Amino acid sequence: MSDTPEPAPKLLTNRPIDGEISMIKAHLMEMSDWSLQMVQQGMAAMKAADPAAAARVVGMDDRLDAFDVDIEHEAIRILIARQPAARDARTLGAVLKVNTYLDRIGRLGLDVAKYVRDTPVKPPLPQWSLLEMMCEQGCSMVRASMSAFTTGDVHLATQVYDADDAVDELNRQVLKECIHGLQGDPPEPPELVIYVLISRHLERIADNACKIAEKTIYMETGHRRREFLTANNKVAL
Amino acid sequence: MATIHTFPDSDVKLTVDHVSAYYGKTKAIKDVSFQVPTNAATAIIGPSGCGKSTLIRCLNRMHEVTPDARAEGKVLLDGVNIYTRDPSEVRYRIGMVFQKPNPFPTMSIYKNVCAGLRLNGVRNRGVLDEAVIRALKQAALWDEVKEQIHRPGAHLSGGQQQRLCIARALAVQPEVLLMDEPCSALDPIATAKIEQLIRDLKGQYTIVIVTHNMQQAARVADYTAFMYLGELVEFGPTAAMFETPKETLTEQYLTGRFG
Repeated sequence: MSDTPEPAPKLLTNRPIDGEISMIKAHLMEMSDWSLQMVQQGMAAMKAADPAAAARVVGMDDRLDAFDVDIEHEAIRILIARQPAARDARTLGAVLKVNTYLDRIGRLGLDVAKYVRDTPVKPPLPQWSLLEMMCEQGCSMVRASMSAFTTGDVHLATQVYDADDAVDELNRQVLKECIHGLQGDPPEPPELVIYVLISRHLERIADNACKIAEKTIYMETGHRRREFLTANNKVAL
Repeated sequence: MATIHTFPDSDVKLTVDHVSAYYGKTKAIKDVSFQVPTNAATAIIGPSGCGKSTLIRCLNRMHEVTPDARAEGKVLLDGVNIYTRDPSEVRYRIGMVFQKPNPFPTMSIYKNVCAGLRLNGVRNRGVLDEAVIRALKQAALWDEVKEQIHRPGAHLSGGQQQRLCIARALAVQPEVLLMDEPCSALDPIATAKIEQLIRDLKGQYTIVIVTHNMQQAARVADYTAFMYLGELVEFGPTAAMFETPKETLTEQYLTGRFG
């Protein structure tokens, strides 16, 4: 009748849902690569003022849609079949959100390409280099957030947040320089308005990277961003 | 260490206070303590053999009916230890529905429902009629049986028989309703009806339900207790526990890593 310590349960190490979640995360990584290609090729088309290149980016939208639909179907199928709870449920919730964020990222690249297709553009103005920096940093943030998401690296996810300030600052700088240029005497070309729009798109791409990082933290810890930052003595963004 | 949610005293109907339960020398429940909130549904989940049915049977002194079984500790109903009261009185106030529908086979639907009242000396036909109709309506069975109320209860379908047993438990107007895997013998449609019933009844009764079906706990229970090998591992709001369990063992069970 003595209270001896009870043995720990023997744990299943290879549940069916583990393989399904690995697979769906791999699909999200493919989608992430595709979305970033749309952004980078959209920016390249704008820089080269190449409507044909822009049209190719527009043509990439169908596959982006297919990723979105397929991943959503797969996530819902797993939800129905496995009725997950706890970390599995959080992961599938995060998958559905990350799917949407990646779709938005690809569409922002698509919008950049559409400016080239629909608006006569000239070779890059001096402010273009700021946009290239923003694109590089935003894409880097998306890659880092997706790496954190697939590996469950909470530390890396928090670093994505830290990088967002620099992109926001660049966005403000683009806005300031473009307004200055448009008000100049003589005013700089009206393409600067497009630059402001692109800057906003790139800033949104970085924001979506932060959202992916946020979902990674939720998936791993069960905490929403503010709860997590408070628990770790950090100030909420 | 277990993670146990607590309530203000005014919200508590039952207090399980250091309860242990034995079958002979085997300790099936090990020093379990938690509170059951008033007018809410509380689920007890856990793998087979974890002691969830034994625990629920300690809540109305049904455990001690088993030969060679005994319990230690206190179960307070509105602050009074039920182990200091007459067991019949306890079971009048804390009703129970079992895994397998068990209507009295030779009794009509009517007599099944009023069996508890008659056992307690109620003979007035008007009082009995009123109690039977009320209980059958509460159990969502009245519309299906009102034309055949004097037919044997055993002639009903499995799901109807279980609702008849719920009506029988409700007829004496208990304060707490214990349900030990009430849907495990039922098909999905009958299960859905019982689950809806639990949601409807929990505003009027304090309900404790044992279930081996985690999703059922998630669907019907406001609070959930997770047990493992006779110990209470975690007790808290169901939604929070199923989304972000506090204990590793709970996480492992909810995600099907064992059980």
